Amino acid sequence: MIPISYYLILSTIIFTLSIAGIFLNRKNILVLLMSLELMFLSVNFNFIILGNYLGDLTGQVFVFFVLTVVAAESAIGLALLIVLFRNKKSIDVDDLSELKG
Amino acid sequence: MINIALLILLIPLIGTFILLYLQNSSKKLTIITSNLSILLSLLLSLYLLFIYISSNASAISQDVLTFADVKIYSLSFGLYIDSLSLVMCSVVTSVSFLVHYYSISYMKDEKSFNRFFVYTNFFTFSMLLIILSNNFFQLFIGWELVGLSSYLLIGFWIKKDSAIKANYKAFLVNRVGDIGLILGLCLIFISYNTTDYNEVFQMKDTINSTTINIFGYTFNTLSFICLLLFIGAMAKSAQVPLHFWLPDSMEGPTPISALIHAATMVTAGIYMVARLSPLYVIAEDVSLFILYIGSATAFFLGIVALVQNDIKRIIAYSTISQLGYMTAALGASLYSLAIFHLITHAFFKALLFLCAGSIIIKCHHEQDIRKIGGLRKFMPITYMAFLYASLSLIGFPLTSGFYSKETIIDAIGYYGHTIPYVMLLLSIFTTTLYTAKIFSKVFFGECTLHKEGEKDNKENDREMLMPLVVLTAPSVFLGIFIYDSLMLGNLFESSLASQELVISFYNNYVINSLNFFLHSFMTINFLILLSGIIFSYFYYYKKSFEIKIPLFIKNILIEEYGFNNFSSKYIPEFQNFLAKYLWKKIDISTIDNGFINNTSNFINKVSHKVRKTHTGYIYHYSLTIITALILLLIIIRFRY
Repeated sequence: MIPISYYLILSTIIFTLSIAGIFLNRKNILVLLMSLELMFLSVNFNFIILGNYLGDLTGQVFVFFVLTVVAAESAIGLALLIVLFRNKKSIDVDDLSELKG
Repeated sequence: MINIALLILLIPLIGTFILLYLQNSSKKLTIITSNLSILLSLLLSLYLLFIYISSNASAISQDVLTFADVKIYSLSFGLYIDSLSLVMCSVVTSVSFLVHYYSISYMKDEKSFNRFFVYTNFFTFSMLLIILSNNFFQLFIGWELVGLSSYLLIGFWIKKDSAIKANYKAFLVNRVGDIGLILGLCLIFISYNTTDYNEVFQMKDTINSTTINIFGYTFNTLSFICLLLFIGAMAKSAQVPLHFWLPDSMEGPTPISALIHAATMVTAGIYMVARLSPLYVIAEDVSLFILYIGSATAFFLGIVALVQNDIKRIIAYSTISQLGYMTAALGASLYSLAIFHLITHAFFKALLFLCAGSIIIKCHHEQDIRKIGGLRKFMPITYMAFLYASLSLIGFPLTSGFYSKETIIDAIGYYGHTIPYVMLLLSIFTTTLYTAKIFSKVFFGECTLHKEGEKDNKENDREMLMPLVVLTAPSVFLGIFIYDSLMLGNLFESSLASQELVISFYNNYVINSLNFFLHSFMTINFLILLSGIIFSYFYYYKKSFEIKIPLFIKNILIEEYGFNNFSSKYIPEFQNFLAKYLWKKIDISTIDNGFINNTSNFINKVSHKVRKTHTGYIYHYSLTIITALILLLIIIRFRY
């Protein structure tokens, strides 16, 4: 039996990686969306592990809902990306600085 | 009785409104309306005075109309009828009527004939409002209306530059006095919770013990009220240092000078102090102040008349000087004597001014006495009238002026006020000198205005001379008729305070009018008068010797002790300086630059710095958000 802390450490590593992906990524907005996905996955991973550990099915059921929302969110994100690309001819993060003060 | 009094007050006002309506109609209607309204008022005043005296009625104070009734105060319009107000009413309306009648011919060539009578009627109404009011608030309204109408009348010739300046000056100087009056009024209201004369008089003793604290100094409240009110009276009655508007106000038409300086405006201050005599009797320190102010005015401003050359200005200075006598009498708590002198002065000074007007008309508006001369032959009636008025003014025995003036001087001496007594005594001498100066230059000597063979050497027309003749009678004989009854205190016993001072003086010193007349030949007063007459006979008439006055003294006198310069040069300069200082240092530097511009500049600078943090890059925002989140979590972790 693998101790629960291993799973939690793994999920934290994934989460940290995804955060780092958000603000270290300077190039592509697609990478940004992927990082978001990864973040969701790490959270889902937490849900499943802890649900199993505590013997509570609620956590595992909740993951389904989260996955649905994530699917919708990434669909919207990709749609926005396409519109953005049409207008700017670029999906570079550095080019998206319209709100600069 | 109250109805008649109301009519006395309102008829001139109604006359004013009718005259306003008649603006474009004929002169005849204007003349009839204006003269009739004042005449009616005069007849009613005399009738009411007669009833009042014969029925031995007591003073009536009655509210006729209430303007506003708030819980703490009711603002009402009321009338106060007693011997004092009725006597004043009669004097004012009679002089006013004669001036109106006189103005018909004096102003006949004037384009705005109607406007003149609108003003004069309104002036009479305002003065009657002061006289008949029974509360301080109404007094204040009348006071301001008198100020307003005098402003309009002095500046009657609106195209004459000096007239406009003079009326502006009169108005401003009166504002200074009004500050005192209105502060006194407020103080009365605060301390008594009422402005009704009678109620205030009843409560006067309760307030006498209280004090008021101003800028760290404590004053007796009552004294302070009296002082403030007297400042108002000083401006209206032309007492030092607020006198300098009066000589300038000679810019108005001459009948107006007669009206303002004889019966109405300038007597308002005297009347007010006499009306409030129950308060002033208690405030002894203020009374002493009034006494000194009055005698200083009588003495110093009389001297200024000696160096003047404009006939009206000389008479104006003599008015100030005579008002000084009245004020001195008020200060010595001899209120009925002040009122007595006010009455006689009203007649003889009105006569003097009307004579001056007659002379000025004859000489084609030439007022410089050095250029006028030898009018005795042409104008015998004016000459006689002027002679009687002058005798009354200098206090020649048996005339009205003699009784009123000598009594004041002797009574002040009798009660041991040495310095004022001496000043008033010396003032007799100067009065004689300047009167003789006008007299000898105008009526004797060479006539420089009329050329040989000129036809215009007749006396003025009868309308103009009638008032002169009528006024001669009270100027000369009024004194002796009312002297005894007035001095014994029958007349003013109920309305003026400290009548016992006058009565004891009368019983011990005067005894009766005849005795006073005989006695006067042995007094120092008569000696001074006689020496004045002899001196001026040789100096002005015979010109047997010349006196060189040192130049600097003459300059001081011509500059009128510098009051004029002080008011028209130094005060505006100081104000300019102050305004500039406030504008530059306070307004521009502190408020504009300091508060407003500094604030906006600061915000501008800060916002320029703050906006740099908005880079527009998503990763910067997200880093900020996540860092903040982590910090928040850490804080929460360690707090709980």
